[in-house]
Amino acid sequence: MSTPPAPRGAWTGDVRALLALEWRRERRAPQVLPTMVLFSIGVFVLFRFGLQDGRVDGPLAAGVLLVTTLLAALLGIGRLWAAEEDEGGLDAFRLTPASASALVAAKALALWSFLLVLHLVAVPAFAFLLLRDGLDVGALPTVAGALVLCDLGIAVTGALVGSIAAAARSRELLVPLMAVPLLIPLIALASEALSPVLTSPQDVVEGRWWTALALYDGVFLLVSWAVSDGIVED
Amino acid sequence: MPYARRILPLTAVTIAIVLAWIVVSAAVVPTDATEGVRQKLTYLHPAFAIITLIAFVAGAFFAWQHLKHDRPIDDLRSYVAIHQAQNFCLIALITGGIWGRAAWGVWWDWGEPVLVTFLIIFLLYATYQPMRFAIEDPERQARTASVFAVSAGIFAPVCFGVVRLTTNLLHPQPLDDPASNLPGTAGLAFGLSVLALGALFVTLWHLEIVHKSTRIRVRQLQRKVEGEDAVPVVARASSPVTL
Repeated sequence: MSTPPAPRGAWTGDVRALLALEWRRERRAPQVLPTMVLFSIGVFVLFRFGLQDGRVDGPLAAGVLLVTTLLAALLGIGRLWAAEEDEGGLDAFRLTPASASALVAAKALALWSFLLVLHLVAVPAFAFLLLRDGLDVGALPTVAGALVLCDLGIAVTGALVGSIAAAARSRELLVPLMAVPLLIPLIALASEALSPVLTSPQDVVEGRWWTALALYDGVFLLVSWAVSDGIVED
Repeated sequence: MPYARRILPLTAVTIAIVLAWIVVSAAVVPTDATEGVRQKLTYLHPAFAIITLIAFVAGAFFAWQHLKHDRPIDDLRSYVAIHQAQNFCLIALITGGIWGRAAWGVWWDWGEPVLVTFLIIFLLYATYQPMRFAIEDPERQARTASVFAVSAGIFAPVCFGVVRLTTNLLHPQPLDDPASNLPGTAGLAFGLSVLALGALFVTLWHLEIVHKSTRIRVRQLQRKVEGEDAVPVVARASSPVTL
């Protein structure tokens, strides 16, 4: 697909417009965000019973929070490209001069923002329902930093997996099959970054986990950008 | 027909290397005094794992070429590399289990990160065919499969890197261990095992490409002679390249 070179700043404008469209869609008919939030809280309650009214801390707490995030994200990933496939959104997009990478970036940003909003609700709920000694205010920046990086990785990988699965007949089945293996390293890294601050007394997070998380995000950002034409091309 | 002329010389070279590998591993390298015959698996199992990873990355490279140049042959190259790598991956998992049983007394150890990582990669690639053949439009099928192959091909080495970073390996690395008392010929046998299985992979890859290309050509001729309905739609949809 050969398109004339876009003027400077057009790419960011396209991403902004597409991201606004995603949020407008979500505001008009809330589907993804309420589902993810309700699902997460339901899982925390489930853990509360599953662990026999037990409370968690350290690596177990990090694992519960991150796996719940991952499972909630799978719901969002499954719906991310639904409008493009079911309502002809992709055909409409192809008629615009916007680049494919702008669409993929907007999808990733939309999922990232959904996950960040999810965590605004889910982290306090998690601390209240499951965390042994609650969440210390001093630990909040570290928790927020780890979750922002983890969510970015899930969003970028999710946008990619969602686009692959969207073309298939059985996308609901394919999304978890493809996303879970791809996200295991990310969850492992985020767990290493989170567990010291969810332990009582708090421990120091090693800098290498932040670097590795950022690298993982960076690798998948590059991959998504590189293959975006293949996703959208007619 | 792509690659048909290379099959015979490749097969001859592969047979020679495989024979050298078998002779060196079985007869030249002495049997380990403490581990016994099971140590010989060092000249089989790791080579399968190494070639598997290289093949997945090669699949990603060809898929990238397909996305860049839109040539169906690149999609076929990528498909066949991944298909053969899946077979090698399965053999690596099975031989790993046999080694684990002999060395640790268990067929599988969930605490062993290298085994689990390999299983994760195998499971990821196990979705390649279901994903691919769930897409009916052949061109979109090829393009989407290439996107998958590039992503998964980059993921595989990243995944191994992360595992090595986050966990202490139990997996033995006797060739890197200065305390290991393996004889010098062990390194030769190991090198030959990687070379032999690499050559075997390349030969099998060529064979499958020639086989698939021939089948595609036959179907094209069949449709030309007998009409469009001669090849069922299902057969067209399950082909790795546009018919």
